[in-house]
Amino acid sequence: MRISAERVHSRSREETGAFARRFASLLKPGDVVALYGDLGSGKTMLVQEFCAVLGVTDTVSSPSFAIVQEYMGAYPVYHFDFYRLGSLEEVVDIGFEEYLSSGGICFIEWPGIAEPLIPKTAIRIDIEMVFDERVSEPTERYITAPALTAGAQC
Amino acid sequence: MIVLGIETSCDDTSAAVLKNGALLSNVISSQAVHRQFGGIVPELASRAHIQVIMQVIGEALDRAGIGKHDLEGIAVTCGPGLAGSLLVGLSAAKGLALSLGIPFRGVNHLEGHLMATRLEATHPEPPFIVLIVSGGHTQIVLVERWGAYTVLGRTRDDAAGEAFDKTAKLLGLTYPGGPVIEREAARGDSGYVRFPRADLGDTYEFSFSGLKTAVLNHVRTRSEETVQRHLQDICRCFQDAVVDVLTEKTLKAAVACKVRDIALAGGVAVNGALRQRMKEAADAAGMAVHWPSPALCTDNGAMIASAGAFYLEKGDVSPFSLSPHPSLNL
Repeated sequence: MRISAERVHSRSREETGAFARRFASLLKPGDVVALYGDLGSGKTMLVQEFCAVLGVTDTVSSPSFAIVQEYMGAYPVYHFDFYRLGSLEEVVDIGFEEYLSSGGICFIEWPGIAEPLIPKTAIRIDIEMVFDERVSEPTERYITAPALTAGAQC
Repeated sequence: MIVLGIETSCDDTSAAVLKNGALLSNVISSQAVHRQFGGIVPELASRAHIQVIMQVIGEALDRAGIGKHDLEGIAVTCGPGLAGSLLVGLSAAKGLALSLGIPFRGVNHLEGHLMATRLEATHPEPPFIVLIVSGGHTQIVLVERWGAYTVLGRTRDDAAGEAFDKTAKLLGLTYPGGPVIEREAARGDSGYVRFPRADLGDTYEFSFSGLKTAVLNHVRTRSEETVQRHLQDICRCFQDAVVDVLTEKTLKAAVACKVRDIALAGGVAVNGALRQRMKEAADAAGMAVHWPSPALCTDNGAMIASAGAFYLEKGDVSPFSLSPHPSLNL
């Protein structure tokens, strides 16, 4: 059981990247990772970092328009974005449940609408941005994620 | 050659008939068409494509004034796109081709976008640079000759159209974001705020994720009242940032590749500010810029027929074993 969560304070893109690489190295086939956070909080960037660790060489970009992108790394990686979907029915229509049981790793941006279908064992990551009127782009983030350890059981 | 083109890669179901390069019909199932066919369908469900595809094909044939037995080939999008949606178009195309005893050809959606330019009376001849810019794609491509392409750069994160959609959403504007932001921006002050242009060094790559975050940061650090009062200015400055990088990188590519023509393709190519800025920059560099009419910029069957006819006329056909390729590249 994962009972503890860690809250990482990242002050830069590099620190966020370092967190992502450490986290990704503990992922295994069948994991479902749900990413919560506002527009622009860095969900796609986290998935890019995860995918790099997982050996994905395809271009990883935001799947908002395509809803799901499939990459091949050490195992299949499915990158979802439910931003544009309007109902749970549409989530079912794109075959979400089949992807979940396919043995690959699923990353889900904007998981809210699919909540009833997201497994209880899913790894939930929450990203909070720290807004700052003195800069054009906020670089500070608080990332809350379960404290994964190597060999952890769901 | 009379070719039927079918496009179902995302949320538009479209079919078109092309006869020896002349477009006879181009039917795109918009929400109005959905209503016409009875009931609102979930926008992205492949079921929605299944429900309307045969009617859309039938209407394309009717408007072209031909029967299905007049068809000599079928072109269909086989990727990139949503697997389930692609499968609907592909299955319809295969079924029709098989029953009519005519060849079919799978078409790359992105090649379709750039072949849309061939449907206009005056269009560039290779070599030229094309900027494919839409909700799902943003890339600069060198068209060496028809059928031979080099992707010079693409977006590392969000597509330009997606940046418009998401910025519209965070400003409380409606979907799709492109037209509404363009409308608001028309009366905005370009000097109100300067949003960042991603500096990706000496590449033809794009990044729009940071721009979206910058707009969000701007909005969250000001009062709702201030944001509303300056909505047009914010839209203007956001659009300027997008148009600036698209124009600058496209021009840079055209200069580096020593071409004289630039083409715009994809849904965002409808944006008036992008067209104007690109034209000004091209004029200054002694280049010509081309763009298809709006109905040929957004997803449509005509562009697929255009690309498919190019191959079918050479006898380059696809096997019936062809499957959808959701992440197909140019």
